[in-house]
Amino acid sequence: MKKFLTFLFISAFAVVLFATGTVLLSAEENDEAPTDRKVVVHYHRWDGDYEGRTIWTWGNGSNGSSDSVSLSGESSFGGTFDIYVDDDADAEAGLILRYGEGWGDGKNDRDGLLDPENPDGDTPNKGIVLRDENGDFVGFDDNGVKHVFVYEGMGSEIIYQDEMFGPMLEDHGTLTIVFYDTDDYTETPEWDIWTWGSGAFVSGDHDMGVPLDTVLGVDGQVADMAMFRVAHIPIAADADDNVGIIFRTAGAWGEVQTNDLDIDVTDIKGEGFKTVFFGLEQQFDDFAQLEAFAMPASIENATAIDPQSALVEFNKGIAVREGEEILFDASWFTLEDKDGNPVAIDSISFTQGVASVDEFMLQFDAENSLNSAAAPYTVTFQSDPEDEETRTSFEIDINTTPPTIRIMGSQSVSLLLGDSYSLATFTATELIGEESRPLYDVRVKEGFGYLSTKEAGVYEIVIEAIDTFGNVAEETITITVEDPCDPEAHLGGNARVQTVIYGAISSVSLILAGAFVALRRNRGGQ
Amino acid sequence: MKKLLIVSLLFLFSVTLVACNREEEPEECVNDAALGQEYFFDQDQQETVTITVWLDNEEYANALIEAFEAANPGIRVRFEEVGSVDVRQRLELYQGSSAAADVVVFPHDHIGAALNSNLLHDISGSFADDLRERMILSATETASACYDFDQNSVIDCDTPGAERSLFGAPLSGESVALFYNKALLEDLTGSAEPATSFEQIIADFEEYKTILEEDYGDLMIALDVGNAYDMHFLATAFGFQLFGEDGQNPDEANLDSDEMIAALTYMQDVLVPALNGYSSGDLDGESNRSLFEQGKLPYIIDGPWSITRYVDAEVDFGVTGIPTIDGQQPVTFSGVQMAAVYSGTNQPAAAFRFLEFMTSDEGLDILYATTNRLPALEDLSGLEAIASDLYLQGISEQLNYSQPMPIIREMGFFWDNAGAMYGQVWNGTRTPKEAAEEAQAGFDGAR
Repeated sequence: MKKFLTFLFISAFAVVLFATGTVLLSAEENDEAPTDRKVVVHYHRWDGDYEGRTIWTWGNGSNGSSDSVSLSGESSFGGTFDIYVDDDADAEAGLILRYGEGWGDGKNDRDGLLDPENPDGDTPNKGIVLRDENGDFVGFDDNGVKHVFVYEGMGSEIIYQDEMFGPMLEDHGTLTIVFYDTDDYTETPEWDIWTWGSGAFVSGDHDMGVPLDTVLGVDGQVADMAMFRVAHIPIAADADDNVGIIFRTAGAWGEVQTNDLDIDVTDIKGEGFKTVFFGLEQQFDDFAQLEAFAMPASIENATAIDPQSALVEFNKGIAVREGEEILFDASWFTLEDKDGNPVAIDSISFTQGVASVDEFMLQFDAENSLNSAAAPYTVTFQSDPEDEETRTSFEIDINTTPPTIRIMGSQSVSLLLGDSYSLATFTATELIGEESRPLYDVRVKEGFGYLSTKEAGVYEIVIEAIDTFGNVAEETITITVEDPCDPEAHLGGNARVQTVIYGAISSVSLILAGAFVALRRNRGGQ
Repeated sequence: MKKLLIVSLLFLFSVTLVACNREEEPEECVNDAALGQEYFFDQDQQETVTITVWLDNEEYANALIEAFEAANPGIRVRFEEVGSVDVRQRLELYQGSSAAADVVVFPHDHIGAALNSNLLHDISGSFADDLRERMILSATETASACYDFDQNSVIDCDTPGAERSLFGAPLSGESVALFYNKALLEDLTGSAEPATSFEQIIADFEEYKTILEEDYGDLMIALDVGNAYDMHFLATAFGFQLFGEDGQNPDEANLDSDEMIAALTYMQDVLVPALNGYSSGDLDGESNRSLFEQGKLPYIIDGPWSITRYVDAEVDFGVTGIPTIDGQQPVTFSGVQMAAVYSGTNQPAAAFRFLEFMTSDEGLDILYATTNRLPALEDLSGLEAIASDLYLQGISEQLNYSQPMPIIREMGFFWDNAGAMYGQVWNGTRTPKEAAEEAQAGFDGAR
């Protein structure tokens, strides 16, 4: 019996040892599970492609996750990443949503919007709140799990499940509505959604709408330019088959609202996730369509730089290459003169080595150079000949405003015979589009540059400027050379004659006046 | 008779009046017509050509152009302020139009892309020889390439008949160097002279650790560990070559090479303890600069951009080359600003004259005086003002042991992968080999 007990004891000890060893070994081998507490990051991409995506994280404590974390799976929201959080974690964990394993230039390697204060800097990091102001962990459920959600194209914000209108609430499906206001929110900055039929707490006859409180944009956009808003409507198990919604100004029945819109939610009653896209009342199949609607490419400005080049500027980047494949096609651009005659474009230049550009320079040979007689010209861009929606045009005027000449000093100068003279400095500017720029083709006009201080007279020096488009301006500097011994000498021969005649007439008038007075007195005396 | 008398009197009076006027003039006037000149302003005006330059500093541009135009009255220079990093892309867009610049300045790492876009005029003849002789060798080499002028493309220099041509004139350069607090060193070691080797810095740390911790901070030297630009010196001291010998082979990032692993091992085994076990997060650039600024740090690896800050803080400091590691002189990255003539210029003679002036001693003096940038000259003794600037002399000392940052596109994938690698090894979260392999994999994945 004693042996048996000893055997049992040893066996039990061995089993415990083995089990403990196994646990310790597992803990050591399983780098991804050093603690029980974790944050599950749900990441929704519009292309649904999560392969190879990673996140980079820090601040999760000694045995918490750090650096690169791979995709752990997919939820109905999107790809998921598990971040393990240790007891000594910071108040906030850092998060970078990376496109792959490696690093690029701080922009092309990660998702997010640029900082408006530093648009040339890296795409800003995101932060996940782990602790509240008292230092206690916050938002973790009984199992030590916390869910956070991020859409592609969000700024540095994070969506938390514990938010009232967060996605994937317990026992509810999630209807996500991505909304674009055609006024770019400039007129109506705050919108929400009035909804009914969802069976959830947001249904009913009260004034509280579902806020469009998540803001997102497109890759490379600056955060304060983000143009899309997102709302999450919880869909209960007993929801109607169709949920009704109205987009309206926030909080009340304001001036702006859409008609009733129905959305089929039969597939997400009680669970699941579904996204719909609206540009005001117009519904789109996917985010790409909504983005094209919200931000169609259009020519914002076109300027003739000189007779053989015109700069065309777009409101957004036009894709010109994809990887090594060149997408750009010169036939995208056409130019017509004012009579509708086509003008041949010799070549088109743009910035190289980038995926998209928003400026193109059209160049013309001498035979097709731009001139004011044929203006205005119309430049047209159409990237898809089958799709009129991609067509955009802009009128190009040719500058006919003469250049501006500025003369530093008086334009009316008096000299005496024998004086020396230095011609005043002069400069000129021309208009290119609306921009004034220095013009260096400014000089003394041929045949109008003579001055002599040997001879009294009035001399005119003409300054002439010719701008890029051949517009001419003239300014005159008048120089009077006087003879100190003959104040009228500079007036020339004719002027002298007029002065003598004037003097003679004056003398005769005086004599006649005297004679008249004498005669009257004489008569008076008689 | 009475009538006749009155009329005669009046006539006489009027004649007298006129006569009186005429009599005064000859007494006061002097006719200097003989001293006069004839002017033919339309015929005598100088024929001028106009060139456009894109520079990133208005004060520099104005001073440079004023001096240039005074010496070259036939050339007018139009200045447009364009950031040097934007120059290449702007020139690609504007090439062929009258708005394109004739002379531009851009960072050296843009030269490859600029050549691929056929933007640069080659520099030849005695001017090219002069640049090669006077400017930092590695900089002129970076600005050189073998080029097929018929096809307008860069070609392999092994191609039969290929010759290296110079396409850019090095203008200014910068590199990190060793900054040292003279007063602190004097107090600590009895000498204000800086260490010439890392071994000496570490030995001094061991010897004066107590005094250092009591009176200053607890660091002898600070490194911005997560910054692959600053940390490059460490890797090169162990023979690491980024992108191969000529820095142009994207298949030879060599992040997982034996040389890099040796450097990381030295860092982990020697430098981490010598920096009192601080984590890489604590040793960020700003924290380090702040310590040096407060006079609590004997040594820091830093660049010319910090000189003004330390001068303003009245730190008694000097600048010198990076100390050796095991007898090897570390090589740092350098950044060089290149000036070049646009290949499509309509005024090549005037444009090259301007380029020559920019790189002349007079032009470089103006550069230094207006921007405080360090001219990329091999020998600065010809420039009086810089010769007395001991800080920039120290940077220049290291610049001669520097390599311009590689110009290939893949350089953009190096920074963060290498920075993370240094940080992971420093913090001990990866072994040198693991971190090196991870960095290489990250770099490969990003390409």
